[in-house]
Amino acid sequence: MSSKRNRWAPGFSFLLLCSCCMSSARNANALLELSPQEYFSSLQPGKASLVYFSHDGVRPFLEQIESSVEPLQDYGISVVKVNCPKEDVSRYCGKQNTLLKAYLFRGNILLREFPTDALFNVNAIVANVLFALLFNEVKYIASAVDHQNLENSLKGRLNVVFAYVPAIGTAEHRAVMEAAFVYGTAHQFILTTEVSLLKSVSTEDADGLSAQLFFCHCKRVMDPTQPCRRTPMEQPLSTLNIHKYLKLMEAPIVTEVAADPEKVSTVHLQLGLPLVFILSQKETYEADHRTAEFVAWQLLGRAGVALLARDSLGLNVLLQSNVALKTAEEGVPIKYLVLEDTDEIIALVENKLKGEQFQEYEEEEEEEEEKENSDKDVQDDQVVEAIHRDRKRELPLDLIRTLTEEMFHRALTETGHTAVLFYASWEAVSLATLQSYVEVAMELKGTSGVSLARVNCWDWPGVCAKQNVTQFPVVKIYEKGERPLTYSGMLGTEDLLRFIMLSRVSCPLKLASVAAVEGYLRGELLAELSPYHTTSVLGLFTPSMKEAREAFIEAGAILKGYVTTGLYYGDDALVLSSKYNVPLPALLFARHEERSIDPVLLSRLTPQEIAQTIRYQLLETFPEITVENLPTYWSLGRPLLILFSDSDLGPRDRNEMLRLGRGSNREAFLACWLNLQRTPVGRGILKAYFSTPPPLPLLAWVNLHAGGEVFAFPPDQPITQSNVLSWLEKCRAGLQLPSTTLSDAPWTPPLPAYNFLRMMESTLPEFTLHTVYGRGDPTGPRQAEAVEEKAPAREEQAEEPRAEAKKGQPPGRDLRGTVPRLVGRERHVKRHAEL
Amino acid sequence: MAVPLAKGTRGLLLTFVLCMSLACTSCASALVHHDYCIVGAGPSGLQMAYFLQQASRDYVVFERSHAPGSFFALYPRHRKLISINKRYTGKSNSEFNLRHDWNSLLSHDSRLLFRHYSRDFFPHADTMVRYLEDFASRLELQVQYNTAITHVTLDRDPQAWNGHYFILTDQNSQTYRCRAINNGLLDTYQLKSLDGLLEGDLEDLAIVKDKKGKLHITLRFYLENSNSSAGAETVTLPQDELDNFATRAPYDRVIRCLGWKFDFSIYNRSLRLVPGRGNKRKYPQIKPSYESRGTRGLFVLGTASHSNDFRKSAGGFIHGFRYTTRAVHRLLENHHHGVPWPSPIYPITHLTNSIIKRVNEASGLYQMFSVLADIILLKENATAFEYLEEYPVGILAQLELHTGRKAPSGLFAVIMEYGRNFSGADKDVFYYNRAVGEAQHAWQSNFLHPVIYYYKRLPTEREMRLRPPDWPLPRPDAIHHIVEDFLTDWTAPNAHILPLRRFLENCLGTDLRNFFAESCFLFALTRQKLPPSCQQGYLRMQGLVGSEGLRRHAVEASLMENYTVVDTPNELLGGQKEIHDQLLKDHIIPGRPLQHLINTKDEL
Repeated sequence: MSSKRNRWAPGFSFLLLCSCCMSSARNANALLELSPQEYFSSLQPGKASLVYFSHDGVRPFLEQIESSVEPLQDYGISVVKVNCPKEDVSRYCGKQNTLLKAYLFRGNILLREFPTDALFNVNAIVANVLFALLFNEVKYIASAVDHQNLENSLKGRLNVVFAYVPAIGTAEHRAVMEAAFVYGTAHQFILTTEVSLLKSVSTEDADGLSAQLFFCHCKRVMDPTQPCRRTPMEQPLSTLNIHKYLKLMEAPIVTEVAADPEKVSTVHLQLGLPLVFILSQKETYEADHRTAEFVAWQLLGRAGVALLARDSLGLNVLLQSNVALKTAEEGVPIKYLVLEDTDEIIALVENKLKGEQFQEYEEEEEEEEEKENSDKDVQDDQVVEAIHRDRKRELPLDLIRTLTEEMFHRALTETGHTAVLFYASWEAVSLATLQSYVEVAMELKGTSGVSLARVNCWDWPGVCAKQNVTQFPVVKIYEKGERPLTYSGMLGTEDLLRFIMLSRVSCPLKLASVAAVEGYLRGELLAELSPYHTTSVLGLFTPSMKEAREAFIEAGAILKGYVTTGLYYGDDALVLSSKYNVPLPALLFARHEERSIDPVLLSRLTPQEIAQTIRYQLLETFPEITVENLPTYWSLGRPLLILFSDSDLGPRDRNEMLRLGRGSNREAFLACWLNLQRTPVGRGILKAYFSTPPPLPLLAWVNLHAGGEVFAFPPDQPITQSNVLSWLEKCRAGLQLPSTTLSDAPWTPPLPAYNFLRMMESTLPEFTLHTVYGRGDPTGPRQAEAVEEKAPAREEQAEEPRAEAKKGQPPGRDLRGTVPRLVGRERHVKRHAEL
Repeated sequence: MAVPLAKGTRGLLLTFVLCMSLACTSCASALVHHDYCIVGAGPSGLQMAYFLQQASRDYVVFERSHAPGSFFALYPRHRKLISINKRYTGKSNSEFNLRHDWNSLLSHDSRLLFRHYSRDFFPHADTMVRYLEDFASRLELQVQYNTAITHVTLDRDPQAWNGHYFILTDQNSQTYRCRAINNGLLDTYQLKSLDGLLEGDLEDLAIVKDKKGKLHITLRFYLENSNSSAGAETVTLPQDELDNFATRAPYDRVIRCLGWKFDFSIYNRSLRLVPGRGNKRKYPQIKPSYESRGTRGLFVLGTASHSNDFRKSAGGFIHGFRYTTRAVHRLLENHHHGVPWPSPIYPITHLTNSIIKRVNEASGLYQMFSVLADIILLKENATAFEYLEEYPVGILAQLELHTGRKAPSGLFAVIMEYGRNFSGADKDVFYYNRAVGEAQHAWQSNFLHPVIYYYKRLPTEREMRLRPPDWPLPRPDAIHHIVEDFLTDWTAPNAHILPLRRFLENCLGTDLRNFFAESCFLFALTRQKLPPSCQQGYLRMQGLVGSEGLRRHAVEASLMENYTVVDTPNELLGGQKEIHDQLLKDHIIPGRPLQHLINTKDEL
């Protein structure tokens, strides 16, 4: 909390200015009407007043004058209408043409006469009046020579704010004058309306159509022959923009930081601009400082630059990192980068700013509550939205039985195997699964012994509760006389179909003879299942190995639906043992595609361990990664050595990769490949890894579980085991620059929620009263109850002026309107952060 | 709008007090001991007996009469219940249907639903008697009939659950020692006039009988002024002067419906069972946990417990107290038997769904609005949550003590509420434009609608005490209203579920969206962290693949990208050497090298 307050401290004068507006705004903002005697006797020395004289005739600029009462009051200038008595022929009332003029007095000294047409609107009035009052602070200059002379005289002493406005009395002119009112003593202001003068200052082609402002860094110029550096202001000239800009210009060019960068705050961050850290160390301090300064000048006005002592960094920052970027958004961690030249830094900041401008744009739109809400109302859940868009389509559900509470148990006995989808008809994931389920039903059409059914848990909560379905969707397979089997795989057509088909076979399948075993291993025995599995597992035991056999049977039950297992424990077990050259008990893995049979000695004998062994053995050495199988391999927790290809792999690449995947490397990383034709989303991955699409095939090292660096294997080297291994060594040793580092940003709420608490506070204050205190201090009662009843009202006062300002002021681009809104925004953000 | 008007005064004629104490043992002659004694076999007595029986507890119900629900054998005198029996709701959801069944007690036996007993929307009182008999006999509840408890006193004993036993004496001086008591007695009968309701002070009225035996209503004032010896005909009647006087028609019968009061007389002073204050005088004083304020182990249930929500919710009626009784049973299970409040654990990805499911079907939340709340306890790191159903919201501060569950990382309370200005004296509940339709104005909803309170930690007892009047809970850290709905169907994806998800996301600081497997795949390989639905679904091999058509919809909504279409494959992915070389060249033309910075890392 206190740190947040500090953040706003530099903006203090700003707030002060605005709060003085507020206070005066509350006083009379009506035009004072006085008689000549009253007026002249009321004049106080040093106090400025704008006055005009009237013989009760209607004056053309009366309305404009009236609306300028309030803004002028903010600068301590009163506006007075003097009603001249008819017979009065004194100096001001008497002359006819005085009635076409307004007069600016300081005390009783006349500073300036304004013709009516100079005061055409509020901007013109404020601009002209301040211009007259700030005669010394703002020099009007018309020629380049005068400008040069003035600037020369200021070198080493004062910085210069040079403003060009196309005309006097415009909104921009007013903005410059309002800024000069605050900063006039800190900098010398120069104003011109001469395009030629602008052209002599500006490096770019200036057409003179729009106002421009430059900050000329003359104070740091010690050698009078050197020119003052100029920084153009890029935003349109408004009081707030000029204020922000001058704050930035006043900030040190390079801030030196030796603390935790997460805690650092500079004026840039406070104004919503990014802060670039140049990571430095003692040995290279001088050079780093020069770099920082160079970058800082480039980015002046757009971002801050700080020199960060490397020692103050945590250990989790890469050694190669040389630059860090901190954005003003709260909660976004600092990004550490490895950049090669300063242009990259500038490009980085520019991209960042572009993004932000876009955001600011959005924020502006959010001003209106309606629009703000409409954003939140847009569905951003892809599954829910897809289902919603599909809601009018009728699914062909006739292949799937709809079960009710009464018929549930009866229906299950009607076919050997019944798959039941438990779902909720209002829930998107359920409905998406139902669509895949319909596809499964169409595939299975005509298959005897299997039927598909569904239970809508929204209609029949009792059935779902009894079947232990507490979340949906859930698919269960009911088989006569067996415990129901709950599906725990991917919710997609292929996987569901495979599960339903494989779960129909006993697991394990008991084989009676060597011939049956051989047929099973060749895939002939369960030929109808060949589309659904690639490997058959056999448990081989001697008749006496009862314990191991039973454990294997239990393991088979665990794997039912996912793996086909067979069991042989007949008298010829030893014959098979010697044939496959493995001592018993053993597992045989018959891989049908590769036509190989791999024996594995069964050393661990609990059912879970056996199931684990089988699962592990089923993993491929060099798998093709797909959407469906990634989780299996991801769970190994290894880095990926992944070959991206847009077609099937050539035999050479495949062999080299297979070699890489085998042996001692198997524990160190997972060698795999991705076929962009079969898995097009792989293109999205490449896009994330490389800013431009790389040539294919491409080998990448993805350090998924530790650090998230991605390295690309040099495309000019052939993919061979030795090349790759030595390259991996370099990657591991930090000798290669990663192409990218995967973001470790957490998944935060995509959009804010309705803040009902805040809405309720305004109309139901009793809800807040006790509670400001009630929840404030968890350590216990602090004060007597009576005090407590009253205290909150006082507490709330602290915020009142802001709130009032927010309501009381019409929105606009000027200082008074915007500041409270900014403050309000800040409070808003805080609230969400507290959630 | 199918919202029950239960808020004010109408409801079922059900009177019932249930107090629970532990241990009924007879001290003198043959001391009979029970862990739980229930006084009265009315609806709440039987309801509690059912729960105790299901939990295999040692209990007995004492009933003065020879059958359960004897109140209904006599009352209401007009024999029509005013509790609705809506047999066809258009839905098959048994839990939801209880929202429109105000007579059934809770049980696992679907035959014991009132709709099987009566076809009437307002059933006959005899049906209720028959129903309660069936309930007691079918479920084989332990009811001891013809036993009128005439005296209840305390016997201090450190061995007992609360430091004392309850000694109950019946009309035959048989004594019972109980460790806890449920007391079921008649107490109130609230008038539901089928003709109309006249407000007035009975003290000002008088009834005179004419020669034909008809009864006329007049004002006491006239009676006092007339000659008392004269016949009824001479008494001035209001209609003599005011010919549209409301009760000008003579009546055949006048029924005294002045209500019942709790019978405090059987309780020994030591039990300190005292009446409430103000308009709650007829009820004993109890805590929000339904335990007597004076004596631990003595619970008041049923109609007699209505002081907790008098004229606010449905706690005085069967359709309300069947749920509060269940809640008290769960509290007892935790206190006396170490059985914590049932609380299944779910992954955080099911949070939105769990809430939507409950607010759409739960009957206890709906009937006992503002009194019972579902409590969601967040587990550490908010990756999972525990779901506690229908907890009495008044004792939220002592949740850990009462449920045996822990709330280390914040909690949500899901509750149903009417709008703050909805009904009450001088309020027109049908005023024009009374319904709120847009989610963003949900907090101004008038009809019963779900409200979710979020607390970063359990509110303290002090905060509960200091909460504003009429608020069920103290100020939360955030609050969400689901906008009232004409059909009380809160499953609309955009108006109901989306704003709820945003609220939950912002409380938890996470992203609760669902993703198709393909998106999760992309995240898994391009980001170091995954959203919960990918983490808890996809990565556990339970990703949602989705059909081709659905993924296309998602692409059209710009929520997914279609990578199968490559505009000019050669340009983007072709792998042409020259393009690649060009890229390399582009890469090599740096402006100002940061050589020294790169060297830095080499030295390190």
